[in-house]
Amino acid sequence: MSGVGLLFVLAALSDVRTPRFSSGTDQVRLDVVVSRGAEPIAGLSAEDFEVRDNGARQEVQLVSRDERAVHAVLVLDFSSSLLDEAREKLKAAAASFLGKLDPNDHATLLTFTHDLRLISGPTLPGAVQFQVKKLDGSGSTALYDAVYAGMTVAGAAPGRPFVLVFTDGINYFSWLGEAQLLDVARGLEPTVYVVSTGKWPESEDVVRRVVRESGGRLWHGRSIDQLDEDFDRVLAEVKNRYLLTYSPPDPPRPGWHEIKVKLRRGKGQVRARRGYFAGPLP
Amino acid sequence: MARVELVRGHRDEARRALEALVETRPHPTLVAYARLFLGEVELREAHVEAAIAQYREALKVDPRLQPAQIALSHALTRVGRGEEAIGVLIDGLRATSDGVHGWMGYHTTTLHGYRLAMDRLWAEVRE
Repeated sequence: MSGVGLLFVLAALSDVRTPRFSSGTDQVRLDVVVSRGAEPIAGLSAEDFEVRDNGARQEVQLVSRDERAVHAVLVLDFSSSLLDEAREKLKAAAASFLGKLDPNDHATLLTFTHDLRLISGPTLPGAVQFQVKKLDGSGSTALYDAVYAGMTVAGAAPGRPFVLVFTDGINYFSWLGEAQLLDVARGLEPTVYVVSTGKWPESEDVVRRVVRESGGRLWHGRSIDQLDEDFDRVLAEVKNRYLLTYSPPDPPRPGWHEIKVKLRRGKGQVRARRGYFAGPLP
Repeated sequence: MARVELVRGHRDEARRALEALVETRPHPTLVAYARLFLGEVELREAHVEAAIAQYREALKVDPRLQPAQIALSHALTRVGRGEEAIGVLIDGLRATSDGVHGWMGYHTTTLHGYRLAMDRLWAEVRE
């Protein structure tokens, strides 16, 4: 099993994690963002959504807001190209972001250069926030390794997982290659957001693809002075997501399952993970 | 040389060179890297379980070898062992939270180990 297998495994980690759903393990959980322009649309019910799994319409349920605590994984680039002033602004934005999480949320903080460091977590946001001042680093940019690590570590705590990556550049130096990252990322659950002060080429890039397929967003060419605003935008989005669940056919057909989500009525932009793997990866 | 063979797609040659290297019992860091690259050889032949075994051997020799932590976690994720993948990565990252082998350090250590291995081989040849 992989992909959805991972979803099931994550749900089965009840000995080390708070069980998130009492309705069983064979569920697909889907974070859905509905927005009009930049504004999230609130107040929708399960009946407002149409979800198809490999073309087959699914009976969905909406999980109550009380069960939608998040696990925020911050993955911050401290490569040598990040100058002192930018480092301080990044630390301030990260501390502010962590301070805005709810007390029942969880957080993890990773930094990366050409290697990775687990600074804190998974634990309560306040404990992670306490560590932000100490952040430092120098070296190259292992962006693929960092994205993979963030997505994987996101499964280590209760709460709806999402990964927020800050980088000032593109991947230079990772153990994992593009294909290796994409291989597993499509099957992992967290939504991935990337904020980059670097200008990215418009051509298709594996990180851009991972972000899109996870239902997240990528902003590049941003100013370091806008980080607070960008991080706030991510938080507003993840806190206003709808968490839909459905039970796929038993057993689900092995392989990639394409998920399509749309609104039955009304207008709004809908974003969600684009699918999951059932069974071993091909 | 084994790495070059691997990049060129000469997996048998790469495997032989890496196994020969391990046999010479060079510096542990070099053994760990040889195991790591042997894992890559196995992975390229779609022998994921064999790759996992090599990565575990690499970490047994050098638990702080972060590329092996990432490679092992990634391989476990590939075969659907997500819980193990998370554990390997978190344990690995915790073990290296005070920093890992920087690349300069890695090259220095590796070259040092390589030099020792070559010296040993040369001594054996002369005998």
